[in-house]
Amino acid sequence: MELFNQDERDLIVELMNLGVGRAANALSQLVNDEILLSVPRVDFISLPEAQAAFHNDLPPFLAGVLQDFEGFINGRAALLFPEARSLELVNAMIGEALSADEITELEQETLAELGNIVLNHCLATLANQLKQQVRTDIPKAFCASSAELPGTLYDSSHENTLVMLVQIDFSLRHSALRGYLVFIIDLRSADSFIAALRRYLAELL
Amino acid sequence: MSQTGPQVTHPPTAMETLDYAELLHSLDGGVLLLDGECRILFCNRWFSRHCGLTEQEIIGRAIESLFPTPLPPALLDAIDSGCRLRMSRILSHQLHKQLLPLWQPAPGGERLPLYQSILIKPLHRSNLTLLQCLDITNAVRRERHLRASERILRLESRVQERIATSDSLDEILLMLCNTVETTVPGAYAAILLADGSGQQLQIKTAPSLPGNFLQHPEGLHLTPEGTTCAQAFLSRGLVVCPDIQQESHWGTWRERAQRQGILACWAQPIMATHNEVVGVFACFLQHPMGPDDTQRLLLQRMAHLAAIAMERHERLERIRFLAMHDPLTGLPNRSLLNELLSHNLRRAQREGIEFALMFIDLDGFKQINDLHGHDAGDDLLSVLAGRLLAELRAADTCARIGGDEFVVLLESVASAHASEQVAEKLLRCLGRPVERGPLQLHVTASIGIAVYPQDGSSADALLTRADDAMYRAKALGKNRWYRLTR
Amino acid sequence: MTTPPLNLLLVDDSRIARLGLRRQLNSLGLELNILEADSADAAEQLLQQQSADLALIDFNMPGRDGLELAKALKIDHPQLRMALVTANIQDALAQRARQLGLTFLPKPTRAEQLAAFIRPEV
Repeated sequence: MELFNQDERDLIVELMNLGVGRAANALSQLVNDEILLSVPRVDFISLPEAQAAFHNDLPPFLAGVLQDFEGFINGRAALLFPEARSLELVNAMIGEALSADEITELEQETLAELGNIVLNHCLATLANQLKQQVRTDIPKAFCASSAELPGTLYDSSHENTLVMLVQIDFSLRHSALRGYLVFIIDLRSADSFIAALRRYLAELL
Repeated sequence: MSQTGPQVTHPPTAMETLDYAELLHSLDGGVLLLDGECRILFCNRWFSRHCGLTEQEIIGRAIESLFPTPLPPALLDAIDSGCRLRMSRILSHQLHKQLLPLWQPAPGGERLPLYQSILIKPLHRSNLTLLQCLDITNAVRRERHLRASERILRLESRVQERIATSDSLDEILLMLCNTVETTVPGAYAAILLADGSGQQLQIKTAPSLPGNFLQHPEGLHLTPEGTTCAQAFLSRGLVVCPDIQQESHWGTWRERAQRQGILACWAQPIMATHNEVVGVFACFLQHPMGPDDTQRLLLQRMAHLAAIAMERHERLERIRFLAMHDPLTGLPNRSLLNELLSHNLRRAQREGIEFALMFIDLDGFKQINDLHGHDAGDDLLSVLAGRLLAELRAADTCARIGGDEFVVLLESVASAHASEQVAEKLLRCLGRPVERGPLQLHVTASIGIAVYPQDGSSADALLTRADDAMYRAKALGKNRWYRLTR
Repeated sequence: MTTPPLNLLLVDDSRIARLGLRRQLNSLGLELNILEADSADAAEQLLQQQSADLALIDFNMPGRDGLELAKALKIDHPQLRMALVTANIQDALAQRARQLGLTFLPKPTRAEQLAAFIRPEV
């Protein structure tokens, strides 16, 4: 995707880093334990490329949290984990060791909150640093295979869509796992996003 | 002329006259509408009912000013990000054990805490923000119950594995007691079984019970006015005494319990097959309390496992018995005889004493079978086995090693002559006819004697010697004993 | 009397982050000679050629993270005053940084905090 140049990409990565860092702080305060988050990688792909990317880069079965947003950019964001390990993350956060293989009602809600916190902080940081506004909707937890993911995330008739795939590494006290943020951005709103990025860079360079 | 007729107005539809405020008031769950400064503009009836304030006391105020105790910072932060920054938030129960201080009125009049999760959603195209408070108390209780059941299931599996692999009943019963003691704080577990008479309970296992608490001169009598354990046994159901000091049934036990720091007792009957009560699984506690649902379940499961373990043990014992004894007469078989013979040999070697071995073969037994049938033969053998046992001392052994072959081991003899005198006695008792209905069954015996150490110093030597002597007796005319001379 | 310029090393894998810091540092009006490295390895190599008085080290880097680098630099360049810069503002991490004798600076960095780190006596 040639929408962004190298500097613009770097800026987005740095802003994502800031956002997940803030999310990590918020989470660690909730559980009184150290949680470190980092962003090793950000990729921009088109919708047609997304299907293949999900299949190649993401684990086959995913548990995730979905949240719509609108403001200086419009779209839908999702935080995804390998399904088998999502319970581990929730358990690490609430400090319990359960044997149930499936996430129960209460854990679904906790996973939704986890996603809510991470996505809110990423979007808010992006907005704040670029001096913009964004609003988020309530999150929804779900499970899907990587093949079903496109259907869950977006209406594939939209051509004007940019997919931003962000890898996040979660480091908790006794475990580490990799999650993924997927931002489905409506390109028709991307203009204001791109303009804000360029303004920021202009001041910097 | 106008083409349009008179105006016809439709009666208003249900949706058009809907009172949305009333709709919100009738919802099950709290609904608040907040303005851009986090002040409450609307609260529904559910909310005011569960926080104990009237609408007037709530409207116009910030939520944190409603309650005497400070609200969790995460909640206030979330409300702020909702109202001011327009970011939706969900606050789950698992991450926020405390949210709003709301209460459920309980039937007994007391107030129960309400477990909740909270949704904060800024409304579209408005500066209002919705705060929805969901009552998830039932979901939390279900989860707790589920987890408690899982925990108990895991404990049960561990014990079951041990039951399958262990040979020691005592080890299993100890494990059951330990499992309960580690799960119920401050508890002493004990397994009591009814004694032979069925009148009293005796302690089988009680790893941590202090001192000689249950060694009362009166014992634990199984009477309806008795202690908790007795009552559980007789009523065949869980009996709980949450405060022993208040319980008159404990009589003299009350003081004893108090001295040992025992303030409560829970007793679960142990039911064997056919719903027979065989004992009680008891829990003695250092705090006055009754069991919660999880603990009740635990007691039930542990008592059940105790029953299973005891039954398995009995079955194994029966199998072992059958492996070592003749099924018809109950006498030791060849395997057990060999063991006992080796044992006696070692003893005799150590202590320098004499003992005797006798091979006994019944004369004319085959004819009894042919003439009167195998049932008659079996009955004859049973009676004769009984007669042999009656003539022998407790320390002696009588084994059945073949169809009509017996071996007697005299644990010790004063002399070879003494063994001969015993053989004489045995001949007489075996030679007496056995009445079976109208029949008189009659056999005689041929007995071969071998004495240690004179006739052999190893098991094989003695056995061979006695066998040979028995054949000699047969050859010499039967109905006699014989001892080979060298 | 002019004080010699301080040599300050920026270690961060993000060019944008380094640019942002450089800009902030320039606005402080201090005499600084700013060096840049984009990884722990690059930082060590650089310090073998040039000496530095101060270092601002990003925590989150691929390969060795900022704390690991700081540990190594403490041994080889004991005179180097270091600060850990990170968006993960957590007590546990701050504690680990301080145990190593590092200043802890949250991202995004604030001018006053940078100034306080560079010229603590002021």
